[in-house]
Amino acid sequence: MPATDFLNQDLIEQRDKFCMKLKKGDFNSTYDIASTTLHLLRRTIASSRWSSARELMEIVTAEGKKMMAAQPSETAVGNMVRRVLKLIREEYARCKGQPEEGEVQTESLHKLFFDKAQAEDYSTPIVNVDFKAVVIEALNEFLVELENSADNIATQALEHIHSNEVILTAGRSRTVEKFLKQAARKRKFEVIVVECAPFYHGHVLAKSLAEANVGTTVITDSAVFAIMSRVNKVIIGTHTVMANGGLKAINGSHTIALAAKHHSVPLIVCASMFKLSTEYLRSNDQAAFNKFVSPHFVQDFSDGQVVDKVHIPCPVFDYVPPDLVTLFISNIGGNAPSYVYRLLSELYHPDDRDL
Amino acid sequence: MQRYSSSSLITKVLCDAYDKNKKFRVIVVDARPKLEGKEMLRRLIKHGVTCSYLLINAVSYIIPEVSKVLLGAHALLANGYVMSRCGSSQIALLAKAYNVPVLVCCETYKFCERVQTDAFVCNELGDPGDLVTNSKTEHLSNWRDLSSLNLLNLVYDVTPPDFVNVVITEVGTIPCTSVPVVLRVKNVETS
Repeated sequence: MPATDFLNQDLIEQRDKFCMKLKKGDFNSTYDIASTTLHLLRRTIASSRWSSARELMEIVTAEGKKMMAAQPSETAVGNMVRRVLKLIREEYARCKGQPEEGEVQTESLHKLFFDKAQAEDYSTPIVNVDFKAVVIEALNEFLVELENSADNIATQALEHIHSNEVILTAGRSRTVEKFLKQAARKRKFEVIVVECAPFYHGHVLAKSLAEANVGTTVITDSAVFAIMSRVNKVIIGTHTVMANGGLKAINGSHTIALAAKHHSVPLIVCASMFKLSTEYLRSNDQAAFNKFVSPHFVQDFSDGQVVDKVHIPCPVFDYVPPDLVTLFISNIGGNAPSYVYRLLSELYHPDDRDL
Repeated sequence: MQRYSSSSLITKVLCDAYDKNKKFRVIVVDARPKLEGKEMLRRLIKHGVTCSYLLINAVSYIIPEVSKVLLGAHALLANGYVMSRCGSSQIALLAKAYNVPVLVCCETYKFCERVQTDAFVCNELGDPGDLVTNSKTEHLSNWRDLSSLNLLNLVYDVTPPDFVNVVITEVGTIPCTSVPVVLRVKNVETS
């Protein structure tokens, strides 16, 4: 790739460090990953040399592919790359004086059948406007939106939680933590936290909520069905929102979702838009979908007799089908899972789906 | 085949089946804080049965591979609800969602005349400290200092009869809802 010759050494080092960190799983939250990816892409756009939008998109795609290959289970990297590509396309269209692609329905059936000849090339260089500055400015706006996404979700908290409710949550999602703490300022309610063995993130959340004077109860994963008859709403976070509206959430979420469905308890998912991915669940045995960690969380290696003869799977994620989810609360508002496909077409360009 | 937590009855069932040269694989599901499944796992391994071991929140991952679920019971209530170790109802729920048959193994002396529909009206609370001590990282070690924080350690839960396919007893294989019939017959015999 001739374009990569223009990338300076420093940027390559930073990118390799990021890939290393991704591989080791050193990041604490999906937000950190998304934010770092965006910063790296911004630096790439600013410091590399390109003469047309097409070349810029090729550079971004190449960089993005390297970062995505480091840890395929972290969809946030891919999501950010696709958002940047869509941004570049929009800015190009705007500079050329055409209406934005959002206004022209690229996916309408009429367009599909009749306008095949007008495939956009993106290769004509833009002379009258400093395209690089335009793109960087759009990226900066996007970064600000990303930073405020958790706060935007938290401001919707009062619309969804009323007084004297019992809310169930699982594991530790920073988005849900902010959401509940914001609601706790004006309303009095109780929270039940599922501890989520073997990582016990639920303990951290429970302590944090109790310190904010929210009545909290910690329960074990086995008590979810038993306690569900007492619960008014289930509010969980997720790692990724899949393209069909399903979730890739923490281990145990499917059980919680099924128990909620059985007791007719609404399941609300708080997730920012950067978690929306173009992936689908490809096969039921979750081979490509799930990530596994060392079984020493479940069974110590010191007990040799057991460890020698027993197969101990320790999956990290759980797939929750979209019919079990009642509502998605994101930084752009509340949506039903059936609407997720539309959000996808607004955020990502169809040509970028398979990078 | 999958079984939940520890029950000497189920261990005996599986070991007997293994001795009769039936080929099967057992998945032992365990839950905090008691982790009783480990003891059962040890016994099964000693006997030579091929086993896997899971915590209860990973069951959703493994359930597509399972052909049957075996549960033990502490009591069978007169309205057909199975009172068992906390977590059994979840396993039965998942099994029903994936169309896996659920078999409860229960002796008839465990049948009782009480009725109950949820796990709260009558239950046992275990030591809340158990929730803290078993974790590798002790986030909650000073939980008593925080007045807003409670730890709940439920011991039993009730499984609705529509999740259970069949109950296996020493008088035969019966559906959950036949409990009052068996009780009546037993009363007639003893009186």
